[in-house]
Amino acid sequence: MARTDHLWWGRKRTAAVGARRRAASCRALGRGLVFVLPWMLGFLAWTVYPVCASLYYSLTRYDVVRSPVFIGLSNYEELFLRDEMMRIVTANTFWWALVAVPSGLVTAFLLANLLNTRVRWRSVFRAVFFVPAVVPAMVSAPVWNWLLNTQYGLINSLLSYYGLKVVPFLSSPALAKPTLALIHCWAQGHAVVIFLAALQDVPASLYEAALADGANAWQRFRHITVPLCTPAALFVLITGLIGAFQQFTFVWMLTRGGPMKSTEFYSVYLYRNAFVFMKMGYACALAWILFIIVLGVSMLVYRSSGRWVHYAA
Amino acid sequence: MERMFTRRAIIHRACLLATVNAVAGCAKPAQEKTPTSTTAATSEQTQATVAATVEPAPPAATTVRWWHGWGGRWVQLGQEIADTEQFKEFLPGVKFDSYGANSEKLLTSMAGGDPPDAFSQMDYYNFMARGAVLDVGEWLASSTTIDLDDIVEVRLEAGKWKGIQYGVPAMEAGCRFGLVINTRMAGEAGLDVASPPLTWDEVFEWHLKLTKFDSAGNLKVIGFDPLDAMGGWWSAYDGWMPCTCWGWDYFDVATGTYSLDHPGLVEWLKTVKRFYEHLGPDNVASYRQSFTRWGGSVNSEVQAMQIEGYWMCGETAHEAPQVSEALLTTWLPMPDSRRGKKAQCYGGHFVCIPREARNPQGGFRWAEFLNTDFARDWVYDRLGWLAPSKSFNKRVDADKYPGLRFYVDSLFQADELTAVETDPLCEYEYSQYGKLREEVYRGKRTAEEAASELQRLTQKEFDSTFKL
Repeated sequence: MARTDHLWWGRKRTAAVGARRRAASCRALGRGLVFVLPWMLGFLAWTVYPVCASLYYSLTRYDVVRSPVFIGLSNYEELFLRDEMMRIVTANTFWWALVAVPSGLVTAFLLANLLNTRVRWRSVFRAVFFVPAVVPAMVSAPVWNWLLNTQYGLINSLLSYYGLKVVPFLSSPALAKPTLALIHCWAQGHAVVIFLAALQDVPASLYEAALADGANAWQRFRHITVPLCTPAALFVLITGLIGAFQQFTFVWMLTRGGPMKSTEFYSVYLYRNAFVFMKMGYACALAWILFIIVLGVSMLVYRSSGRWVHYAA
Repeated sequence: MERMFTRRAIIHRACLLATVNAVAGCAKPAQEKTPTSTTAATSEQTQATVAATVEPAPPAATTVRWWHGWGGRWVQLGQEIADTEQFKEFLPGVKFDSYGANSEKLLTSMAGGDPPDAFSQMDYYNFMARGAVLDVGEWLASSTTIDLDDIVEVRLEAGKWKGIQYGVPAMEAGCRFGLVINTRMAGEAGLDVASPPLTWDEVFEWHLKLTKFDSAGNLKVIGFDPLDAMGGWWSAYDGWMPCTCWGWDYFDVATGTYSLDHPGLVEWLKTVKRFYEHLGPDNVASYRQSFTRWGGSVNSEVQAMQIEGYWMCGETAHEAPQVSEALLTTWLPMPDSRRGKKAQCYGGHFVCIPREARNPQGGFRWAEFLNTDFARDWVYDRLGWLAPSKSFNKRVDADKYPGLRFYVDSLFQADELTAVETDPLCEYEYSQYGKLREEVYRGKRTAEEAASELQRLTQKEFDSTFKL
């Protein structure tokens, strides 16, 4: 036997070791896949399949109880060119996104600043302001309905008692959306918590340095607090916009899209087409357009963040 | 052995078990009905053939699920009737599940392949026209409980879509339109209840005297809301008041043609605008948020008049007896051109059976039970609802509930008696109609434009849904 035999045995051993390692690696991969299999099946069944199915249904005339009939891009054509309600619901939804979301963001930020001060029972206040975020809309909507009711609501009863004209909060086309925006500001508990965390991350040394330089409270707030909270604001803004375009529960519970369709938001219209008018194919087309709008708006905000978001070094 | 019971091994096997269970759980459950009825096709002819092969035998399964659109007392009554000895004798061993739902929930259940065994007070013709319910013609013809000669003909006809019987007339049927006046409030306003208003102009004069505002201009009492209850409602089982009032049929089911841009609708929208301009649209919208529709404001005596159906008599007698005593019911007001005309509409409900129901025979037996004398009397005693039966209407004590006599007699005394239109798009139309009429009374659109737009939208919707 010469050196070549030694080499042959060496290569054979190396190959065997490699094969064993590959087999072990495959077994590890298999075990890993088994562990994630329940989640993967759920993801495929309840996310991937519905998304792909909705894309298909958006190209059909489909009412759920009959088989879908392929009609190409007719739903999209109807949506963009002929549906007058699209103009109304899109305007309402963009109003909501441009007014309610920033209002909620500013409210949450100001509340977080208040909750970040050293006051007695600070933890109680924090809990109180967070509670609206965990109360389901189905529960709080009737309470708001009672508060704002023109006949027996708390607010209008007081106005009526003093001989004043009642305010039709939810029954006037001019006031319904601003009223809903006000309710939206009340339910900003999650954003408050996020801003609170961001505020507590601001280094105290910056405030000390600013104080030493003679900066007043407003200057410290404007030049230290606000810039260093912009990353949190970006997150709250994007998630708020995504939520705003899907606003449904409060609207459905309080106004059903009225009065005079002034609160008919995109999601409400989508729901109505899908389940009331039995136009599931058209509703799927609406859903895909909504997806593109939300994606576009989110990307726009994210792209713009380079100009106004300041990350701490 | 030790390797089998490591933490990793246990989690590994649990994941496999969960996956197997999830896959098994996604399998379609076994159907309880005969194979032929589960394969009911969408074409009407094939469906009729399929239904004819299924015999109306007593339910093989032990559960009958009935969904209905009524709230209020029916939520409880639905279970109470199932506790009676008569029900247990008629449907022995059956667990009855009565559930308050709506058309949206029903649609979702059909999508999920698990609809109830029967449903009532939903968008009947929409489901009929799309082939979502079973043809019950053969079962009705061979039923030993339901006497077809005794069923009011217009109700039997109304249960058909293009000649096929899909609905079993049941639950209730009766006259839909009457002017209801609170005589106590009218008397206090100095109005003569012995000469009730006959035209919309006369109603408006009464309304002016009955409506009250406080010193700040807040609405306290409404004289008449033309869109409250049956005045503003539009459905597949209640009809549409402007049609009965102005005397026209708005839908031709044979040709699928709508006639909504009728002068009657234009006049009606102008009439509504007149009342709402006086009340203030925001005031009325606020009012409705507080008192809702269908009797809340009348029972609370903050509204003096409304257009309502016969059921109001029994329901008010049970819910607000002190108000019931003061109510007068009379003929639907007419436009000036038709002054004195006695117009009425006879509508009602059905029991329909979804195509994919697990227990269609059980659903049909429930429909049969509702048509027994016991069930009809039981419902009448508790709610004041009339049955779609000629013999029942002859023997019923119409004086039991104040105001009911008018509705029962109007069936025979009306100059014009119409049936509801078998229109599959009532939900769609009602949504568009609500928006357009609000635009009219808020001054954003003329009545002519609204009627024309309603016609355009509805015809387009029907053509794209049922004609293509």
